[in-house]
Order: sequence, then structure tokens, then C-alpha cells
Amino acid sequence: MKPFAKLSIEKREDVSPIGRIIAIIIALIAAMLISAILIQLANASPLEAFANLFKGAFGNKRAILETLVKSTPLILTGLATVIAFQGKIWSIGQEGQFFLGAIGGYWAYRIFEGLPALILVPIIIVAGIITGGVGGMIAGLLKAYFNVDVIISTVMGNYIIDYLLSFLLSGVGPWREPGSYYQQTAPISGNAYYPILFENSRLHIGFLIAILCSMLVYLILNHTPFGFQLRAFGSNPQAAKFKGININKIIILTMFISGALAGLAGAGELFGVQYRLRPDLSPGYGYTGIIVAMVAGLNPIGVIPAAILFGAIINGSAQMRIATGVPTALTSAIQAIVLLSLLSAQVFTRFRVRRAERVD
Amino acid sequence: MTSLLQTAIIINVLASTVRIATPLLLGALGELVTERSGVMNLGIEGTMLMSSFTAFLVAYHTNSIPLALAAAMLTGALMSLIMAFMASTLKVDQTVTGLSLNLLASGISLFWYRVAFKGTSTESIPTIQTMGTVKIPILGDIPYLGQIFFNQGLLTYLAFIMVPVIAFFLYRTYTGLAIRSLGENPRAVDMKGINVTRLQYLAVLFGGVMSGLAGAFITVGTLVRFLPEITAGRGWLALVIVIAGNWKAGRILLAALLFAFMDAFQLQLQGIGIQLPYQILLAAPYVLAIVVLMANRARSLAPKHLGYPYIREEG
Repeated sequence: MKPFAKLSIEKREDVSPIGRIIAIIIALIAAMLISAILIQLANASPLEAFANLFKGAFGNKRAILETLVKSTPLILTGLATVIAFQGKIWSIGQEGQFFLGAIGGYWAYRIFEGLPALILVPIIIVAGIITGGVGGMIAGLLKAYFNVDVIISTVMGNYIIDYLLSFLLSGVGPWREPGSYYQQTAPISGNAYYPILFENSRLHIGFLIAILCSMLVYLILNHTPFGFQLRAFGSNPQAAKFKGININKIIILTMFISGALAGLAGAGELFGVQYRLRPDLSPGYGYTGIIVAMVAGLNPIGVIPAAILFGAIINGSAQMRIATGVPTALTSAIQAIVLLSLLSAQVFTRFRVRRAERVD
Repeated sequence: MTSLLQTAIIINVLASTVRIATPLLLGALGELVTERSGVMNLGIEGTMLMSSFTAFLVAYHTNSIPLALAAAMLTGALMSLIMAFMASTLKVDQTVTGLSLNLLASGISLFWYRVAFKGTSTESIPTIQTMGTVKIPILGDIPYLGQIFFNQGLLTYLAFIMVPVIAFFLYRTYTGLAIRSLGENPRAVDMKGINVTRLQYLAVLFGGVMSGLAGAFITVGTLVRFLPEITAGRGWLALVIVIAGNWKAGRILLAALLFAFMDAFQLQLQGIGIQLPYQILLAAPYVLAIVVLMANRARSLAPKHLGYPYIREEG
């Protein structure tokens, strides 16, 4: 008998969790190897760079807490991606909606500035949710009523919001800190700060909110009629239509929730970490959220460890740059490489290679 | 005097329109061929960014425009090779692949820029010699029209010549027909004994090379320096232009000119120093893109099989 006489590739219906984990491990190893080449190109030692990356991310309690700080917005933008992608609604507006949430939060802060923290902070959170959500909803409305591709409308939206923020912070804009050379607002006052969870750290209440949100998204997706309809729409839009699911409603609501989660991330970053609205409030949290969601296999609970992994890479890269001179821009490259290798590795879990039965 | 000045301004805006349309047109025409083969390459923003960077890098080190262009085309080909491999061979989701290409380009170009120009302060930004314009004899001397159309860079001429060339290729050649059929009904193409994967690779690679030239135009064609995210959404606009042009070369030309005119117009307004936040003018093309797509609800000519991997079912 010839062992590999004829191989056939067939599609697997269900992907086992073990298969998924193996795919992720393969992807991470591949990404590390490719990143090592890039680090070598930067004339640094890959081992030293990785060691410092790890030390910067998990070296001590302080580093770990800071990693959680960095992963907080990623949990939320990751969830924003999960809920949209579960319905195969390809939104990439998380970056823009992140800034919308920060803009909405700051707007509310300016109006209600004088109120005590106990009232002001919830108002800011709600404002961030609403502005981010409305931003997402606009893309949903455009898709539902004008059939405008969500990818394109959200990307265009990201650029438009970018210019909106640039205007708000410009010399002629309303929010520029008086007399400042930089595009930034004045620092916000202490009564608008998110409460801090651990003393001497920057880990704020937003982390708990993010964890809560991932449970909430899990419940929505798996235990509500809306969640069932969304996933049905995602797996087969035509069939969903015939089943009498109101597709427009699904798209609009999904995009609202997705935008709201991203907006929450933006408000949290502004009022929990940076305390000042600037164009660099996000080093690309919206885009990294897409990768977090993919690595998590679009599972809202899996988003948490995935976000911590990428939060660690972002946090550790600062230490890596200080110690070895490797530019922190490497982190964005690593993220994309993880995603590309994960997509490739998933092929092994989606298909199984088996020997075709021989007819003797 | 005033009328002379006005004429000069109008000619300037129109000549800028033709120039600004160049990368949009190159990218959109390449994407047209790619999408006609059934592959949706959302990675052209990244492909353009990466190519504009390598063109800059090569021009900086060699001072040679031809080498810079070759590097950009090669980069475009490599980026789209990843796309083709993922989409056509591995049959991975094309949307996510395209997005990851954009992330890859934005990360690697910035990383590499920092590594290559380590230690250069913000005051001494590295610069290159750009391509310059080539005035076409006789035609370039026609009043007005000569200044608008025939006093441009080589890549601009190439972009405009490619419009009829690609239209002819897609509609009048055997390979073009096969590519179009691939986007509509890959099974039928497969049954005819044509290698689906090979043809898709060719179409995607062509799109990548065109995006590479588009990227090269942004740096060595016009700007003396490289900045992070220098493509600023032009790749995405090229995708919008393909949809707005309803997957036809001629209409794509019109759509590209429309977007370019908007941009040229806002540049002129900024130059005059009009009392309007310049961000509104800069955001205008992206707003226009959404409006154009709203008005373009019927996507009659979109390839039926666009974005779906072709999986051969045997038996």
C-alpha cells in the first residue's frame, strides 16, 4: 500500500478549541521569527530585544499593572470588532469611534465640569458610549438604507474624525489649550478622573468596565434573540432574510453597540490615563482591536487574554527601545505579522488532510 | 489683469487635478483588474504606502529614479503576492487579509524609516530629488490644454494611457475575457481548462505593480520627503473610485478626476488663504466618497464572485 497515494482536503465543519490554540501558537512562533529578522535588520540582538520586551511587560508588579492599563482599551476595541464581525459586518471604524468617544466625553466634561466626581464620571462614560455609538450607527444606517459598504464608510469616517479632532484642537478650534504650542486641550480637572484601582498605578475603573463588557457581549451574542439573529445573519445573510429577520435593524443596532464599545475605550483612555485630549490619544488601539478579536477567534471572553497579550507587546516595546534602540514601531509590524500568520495557520484547523479511500 | 490671474488660477487647478488624479487612477485601474478576477484587495492603501517608502529609500541612496520605480513595482508585486497567496491558494478571508496588509505596511514602513534614518533630527528631514515634468513637444505648446495635460510627469502620462489600454485588455483580449469571467463564474473558467489560481495570481500581481507605481508617484513623483502614513487614504479612495466607476475603466477615469478636482480645489482655496478651517477642506474628499457611494446604490457591474474564494469541489 502506498501511504500517501491520494490526499484530499476537506473542510471541517467545527473547529476544535485545541486546533485553534495550536494555530495561535504556530502564528506566534512565526511572528516571533519574522520579528527577529526585523530586529536583526535594526542591528540589535533579537534575544536581548525579546527579553526586554518581556521584562517591560511582566517584569514586576508595576509592569504588569501597566500592561493591564494598555490592554484595557484593547479589550473594548476588540469587543467592538467581535460583535460586528460575528455578523460579518466588516467595520474598521473602531479607531475613529475611539476618538469620537473621547470627543463626546470631553464635550460632556466641558458642560458638566463643576459637578462632583460621583455624578460627573458616569455622565462622561455615558457621553462616550453615545457619541461612539452614534458614529458606528451612521455607518449602519448608510449600509441599511443606501447600501454603502461598511468597510469603506468606516475608513472614510476614520479620516473625517481625524480632521474633526485636528480642527477642535487647532489654533482656530474651540478646545485648544490657550497659549499651547501643541495640538492639545488643557488638562482635565481631578473630579473627572476615573477612579484608580490600585494605589501608585494607572490601572483605572475602566479595566473592570471592560471585563464587564466582555461578559455582556458574551451574553448578548449567546443568550439573546438579537445575538442569535446577528450570528444567523453573519453565517448566511440570505437565509436570515428569508427567515424574516429584520436585517436593517440588526446592522444598525450592531454598529451602534460596536461604536459604543470603541467610544467607551476612548473615554476611558482620556479620563483614566492621559487626562488631556491629544491626537496621539491612541497609538492605533482601534486597529489593534481588530487583531485582538481575530486572535480571540471572535470570542468575547477570549478577547481578554488576547488583549493582554497585545497590551504586553505595546507596554514592553518601550523598555525594548530604551535597552536596545529598536523602534517601537516594530509593535505594529508584529501585530500585522501575527494576524497574517494566524490566518495562514488557521488553514490547518479549517481543513483536514486525509487519505482518500482507495477503491481496489 | 484680474481675468489673466483668474485664467492662471483655473489652469493651475486643472493641471493640479490631472497630477493629483495620477496615483488614484493607477491604484484604481490596478484594483479594477484585480477585482474583475474575483479578488478583493483591500490592502492597496498599504501596498501604496510600502511602495512609496521603498521608492523613497532607493531614490535617497542611489539618486536613480528608474531604480526607485523598479523598487516600488517590486514592492507592490511582493505585497500583492501575499494577498494572492492568502486569497487564492489558502482561500483565507480576503477582507481580513487586506486589512492585515495595511497594518503590516504602516508598521514596517515606519519601523524601517526609523531604522534607516536613525539619529536624524526633525530639522534635517532626509530629502530626495523628484522626477519632474516632461513637456511633450508640439502638444505641450497648445495654449491652456498644453499646460494642463502635456506638461506633466511620466507616471501621469502612463496613468492616463493605461485607461484605454486596460479597457482594451479586459474587453478585447482572450486573457481579459478570462479574467472577467473569473470574477463572474470561476467554475466555468475552471471547466474550460484554464488555471484559475494562476490567472488570479496574475491579476492580483498586476494590481500590486500598479499600486506600486501609485505609491512611487506620491514620493519620487511629487514629494521630496517621506512621512509616516504619507498615502493618507489615497489607496482607500482608489477603492471607492472603482465602485463609483462601476468597474469600468472609462468611468473610473471620470471618478478619479472628480476626486482629484476636489483636492486641487481645496489646495487652491488654502493657497488663497480663505477664512475656513482647512480641516473641512481636507475632509471633503472623504465626505464626497460617502456621498458618491450613497448615490451609487445599484452596483450592477460588480463581479458576482467578488471576494469569495473559489474552492473546487471534486466528485
